[in-house]
Amino acid sequence: MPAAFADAPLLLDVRHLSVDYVSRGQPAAHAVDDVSFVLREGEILGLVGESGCGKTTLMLSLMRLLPSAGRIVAGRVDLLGRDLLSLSEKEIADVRWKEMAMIFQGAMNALNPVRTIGDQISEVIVRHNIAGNKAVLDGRISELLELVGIPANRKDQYPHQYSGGMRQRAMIAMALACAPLIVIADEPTTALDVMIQAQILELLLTLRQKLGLAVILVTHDLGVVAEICDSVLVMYGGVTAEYASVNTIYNNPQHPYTQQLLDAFPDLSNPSDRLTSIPGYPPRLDALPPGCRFAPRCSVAFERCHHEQPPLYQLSQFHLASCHRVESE
Amino acid sequence: MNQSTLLEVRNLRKLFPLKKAGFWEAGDKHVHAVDGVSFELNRGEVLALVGESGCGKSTLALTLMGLETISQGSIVFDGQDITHLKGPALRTMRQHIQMVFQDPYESLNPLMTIGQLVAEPLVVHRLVRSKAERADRVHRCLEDAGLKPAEAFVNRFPHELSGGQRQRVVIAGALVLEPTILLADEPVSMLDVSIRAEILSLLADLRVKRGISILFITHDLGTAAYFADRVAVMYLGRIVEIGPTREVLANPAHPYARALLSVIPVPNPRQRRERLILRGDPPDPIDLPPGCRFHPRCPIAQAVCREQDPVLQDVSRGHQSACLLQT
Amino acid sequence: MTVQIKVTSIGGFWETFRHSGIGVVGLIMVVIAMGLAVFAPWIAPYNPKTPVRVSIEDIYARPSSEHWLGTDDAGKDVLSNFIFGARVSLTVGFFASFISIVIGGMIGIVAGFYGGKIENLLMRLTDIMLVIPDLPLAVVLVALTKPSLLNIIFVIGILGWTGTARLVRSQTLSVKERKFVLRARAIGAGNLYIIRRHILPLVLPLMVANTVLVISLAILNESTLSFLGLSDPTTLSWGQMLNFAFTRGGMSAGAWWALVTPGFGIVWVVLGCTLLGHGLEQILNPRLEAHHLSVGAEMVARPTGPDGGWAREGEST
Repeated sequence: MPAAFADAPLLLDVRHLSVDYVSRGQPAAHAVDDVSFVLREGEILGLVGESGCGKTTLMLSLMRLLPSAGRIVAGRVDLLGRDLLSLSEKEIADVRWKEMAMIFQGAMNALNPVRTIGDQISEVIVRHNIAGNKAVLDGRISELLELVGIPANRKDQYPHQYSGGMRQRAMIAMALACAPLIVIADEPTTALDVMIQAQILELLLTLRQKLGLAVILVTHDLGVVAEICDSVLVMYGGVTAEYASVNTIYNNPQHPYTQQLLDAFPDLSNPSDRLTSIPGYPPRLDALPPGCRFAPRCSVAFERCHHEQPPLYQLSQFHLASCHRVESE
Repeated sequence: MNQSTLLEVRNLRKLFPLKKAGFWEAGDKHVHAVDGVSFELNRGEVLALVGESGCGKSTLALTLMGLETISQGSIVFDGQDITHLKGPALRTMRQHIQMVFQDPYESLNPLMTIGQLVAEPLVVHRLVRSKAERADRVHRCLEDAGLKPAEAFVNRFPHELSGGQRQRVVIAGALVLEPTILLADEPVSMLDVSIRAEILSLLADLRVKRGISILFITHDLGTAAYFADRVAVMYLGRIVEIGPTREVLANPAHPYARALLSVIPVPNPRQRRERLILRGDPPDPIDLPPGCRFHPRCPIAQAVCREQDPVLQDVSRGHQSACLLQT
Repeated sequence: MTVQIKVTSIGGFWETFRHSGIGVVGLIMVVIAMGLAVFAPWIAPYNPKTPVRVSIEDIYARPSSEHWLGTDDAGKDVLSNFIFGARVSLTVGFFASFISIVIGGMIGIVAGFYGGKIENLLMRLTDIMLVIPDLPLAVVLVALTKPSLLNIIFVIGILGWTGTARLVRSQTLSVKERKFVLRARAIGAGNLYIIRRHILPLVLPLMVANTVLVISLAILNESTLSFLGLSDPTTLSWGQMLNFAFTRGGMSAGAWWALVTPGFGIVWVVLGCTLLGHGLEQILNPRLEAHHLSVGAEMVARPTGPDGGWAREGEST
């Protein structure tokens, strides 16, 4: 745990969470398998992995918004000491948005084109019946827009009058509408230009500072993670590959997947390095390799890796990695 | 134009007339997509064209391919003016310049097999006589693009391949005509980080093996830095800085290039540094600001920037920048 | 290679089609009608062409064991007429709709693909054709020409293409914007090549679905024209049967069988075609579903949830 956050109050405690997808006539696909992590007040956690590694599924299961085929088969999700998995549908609906809000991937392009931005934000507030009368509601919308850096007088404009960056800001405003403790942002900067991406990341940092917001940033971009995250959870094929503070992940990565992922990322501070890529493809969730899930693509795999799934080894107080090589060292 | 110059673009402009908003409004407004761009591409060189979306880099690529008409300026390829080519001459020309598109999920016809897709340019240009010759060339290009063994791929459909493999198919299709220039429009931005490097190194290998010149269009200065010889930074339809990659990365002269460079994420948390984040979005390419078009967002703008439109000036040998304040 | 595409896509297509209830019902109805038409000489108890000696009792005779559906004004067997009538109705339906689809498809593709002035011109023409009431125009056209089966087919064919043209145009517009069309241009392909290899194959399934709907309209139109007495009196169609029963005292004789039988035939085929057409459209219309473009399942790990959309996480990066 980074020093700054070791004492901060614990918000979210996820333990041994497993999610399966079941469908008729097929074996269950283990989309998320035994994942644990914690989130403290004001912490920004980066959740990193390739397409289909289960990161979106993990986030949806925290919100209990899994599609009908998804089943949470094991684990606990404690939010301020309350187990979210045992709440009734009505109670969890109250937790969503008021305590934990999510910015869905690509949602900025799914805004209703025929309704104003202000109107769409007010819908969120009204649905969770927070504001009393119209004046309070209008005031709150203006306040939210200002908070994310949009002039309040633009609340009566339509999505097409907003640029991509502003639409993403509006999505953040919408997520903040009910003053949540945690915001989950799924690939919030993916489709944006570098400059706009930098603006959005800066906004997340400002919000953390102003509101003490905790953020889970789901991304495949290690550069973004290095810029703003405090801790990093690297996922591969539904399991935790490595979980550590951002400094440890970048300067002392222990899992070969983390190492290879870092090598695949262009580093302008050291451009003479040659970029490498990870050969092969991520495994299918319904046909996982018998041993370590990364073994078929791993350059340093040995006999044992192909038969036995490595447990999560604790390397230091806040550094976990699931690799057989770690044990032998 | 010296010996090694393959493609020379001079003062290229592409204006899109704006549709009249109302009946009474005068229809003389234009979108200045590309507004006076000049550069040279040398033989066997990789030139990266970097800019935000809407800066005109994709339109520039389409005009170079002859897929958009040119409003003004000239394009000279291998000593021949190809600006106003039409019909069969243009089609022959296209054999020399081929393009790799951004989205490998969309740029392959889902109903055609990989073999048909790669052979398509040969069919279109009627370049092969026999089926055997065609199969042979398709085979060679697939293997050159890293799809080995080619037999495993020729009869498959695009949806059976991963994003990286599809992009290789697109590259194989571009190679089959043995072009001298490859325009790569964001070839890796839709792919997972873990496989970007292999596509980039494939392009780098092609340059070495076949001596192809590559115009690499991207919004990511970071990837450009890895494999371009020279970098051109575009802003609102103009090149604001151009020079050797190392030189531009080490001493960016234009404030926009400096800002772009500063916001590129560096995968090292110990190097979190001061970032120059520009406010707002690029201005609208319809009503361009007077003077330097970057001044409304420029952190160091002076009064003179509002009046005078800067031109590219030498910073050092081969390194030019368009800023009034550069010393 | 071409064969392979068709096999894979038809195999997958049939798998989906089997599960669409109305489509299968429609297909069965259409197949029954076609069977009737093809095997008419073997199924029908009498041949309508053979002259019969008629006594007064044979005219509009009630259904009996000899004539299951009674007789008509000429003392001929209604069931046999009905079975042979299917031939004419379906022939007109198929050929007229073929003409409509070819005209509509060509106009739609050309308008959608070339755009600009050509599109404007062709679409205004379509609009004009759409607002002119079909029936009076058909009556005029048929009346001006000699009433023959060929003319009827031709008139129905050139009046029925508007819907197809609009549908094909809108589909062409969306296919045209796809990146693989841009890639084909970048390769150096000409317009005709692009239309043939890239536009047509993606528009064709929709045209097939539309054909079935146009057939039902053509059959209905043929019946209407025949009923109004504008068809060749020597060809025997369901509309013609209705016309004869109506104008030659079938109503006053209380011969319901002579009216209901051809009416039933028309309703059967039109309903069958409509159901089949909607069944096909649900599978083939890309705006109702986007299936064959999703990511290859064997390459990318994805949850097996029914909602495949969100499972493509990170794909758009």
